[in-house]
Amino acid sequence: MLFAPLFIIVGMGVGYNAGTIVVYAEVKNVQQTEGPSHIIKLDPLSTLMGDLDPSMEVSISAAVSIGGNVSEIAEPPPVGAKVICLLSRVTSKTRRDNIRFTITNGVMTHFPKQINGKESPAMFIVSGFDDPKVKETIENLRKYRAKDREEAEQKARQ
Amino acid sequence: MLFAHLFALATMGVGYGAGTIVIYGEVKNVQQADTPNSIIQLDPLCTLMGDLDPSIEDNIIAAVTFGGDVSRIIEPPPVGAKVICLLSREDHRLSKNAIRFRISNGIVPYFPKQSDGKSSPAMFIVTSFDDPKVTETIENVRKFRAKDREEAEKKAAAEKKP
Repeated sequence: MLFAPLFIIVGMGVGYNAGTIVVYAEVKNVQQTEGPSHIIKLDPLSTLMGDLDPSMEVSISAAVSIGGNVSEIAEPPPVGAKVICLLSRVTSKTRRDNIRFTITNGVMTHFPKQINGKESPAMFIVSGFDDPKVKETIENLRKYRAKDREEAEQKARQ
Repeated sequence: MLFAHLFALATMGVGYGAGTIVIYGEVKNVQQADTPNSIIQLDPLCTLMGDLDPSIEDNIIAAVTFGGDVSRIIEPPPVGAKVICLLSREDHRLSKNAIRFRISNGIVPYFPKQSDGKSSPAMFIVTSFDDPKVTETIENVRKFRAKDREEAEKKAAAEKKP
């Protein structure tokens, strides 16, 4: 039980780095592996941030912890649900299985707040791409990456 | 007139190459440069194919030609319209202005056919992301890139071997 809150703290406020991706996706499968550990299969319909080409990586399997004690993601999304999801790419060298992505169990400060006013987990359900939370996510991500954008523009001018 | 048709034929059947991107975006502005050339400004809401990060490149300015004589894109989309658009990245060293993208005037075989039954232009209007043409585009671009995907998987498997 002591490990659970520590686990959440470690995963909080995940920042941007290479290999961090935000997708709008459809849930294809959720499989519980052990305790709170799950493998979720997503169809990434489009990319909102990062370097994932959804025409190349058409099926994503990601490791995720689900459940209030260990994760901000309280319960698994139903199959068929549309979600916004922050993925972190893991190298094949660090995992023995075919899982190439993880979904953090922490709070995402640049995702829109949930109905209860709490900060968002790294994966949340939306009704569709027209859900106002999708637009809010896009706007937040752009604010969040303003400095990266400035740097990219400076580099392009050189 | 002859040049117009030759120009259209020359750019038909646009394939995939590095710097080829498909986005779902919103039209922010269309400005005519010199007939039939225009400059279109798009807000790329999300990427369906290619290497564009919409959180970094949040304002796309692209050169495009409109008009039946010279382009498959008959007329400019209205401001505020949602579009699916195939962009080609321009080498910024070759471009003296802020234009970093170009939209082909040819046919894109992996875009859904339009209501008139003709093959699709490189930019077309959709009602929203839920428009069936968006799903069709996603499916088509995935089929189109099946070979690239196979090669990438082979490469990844080879790298994994000790």
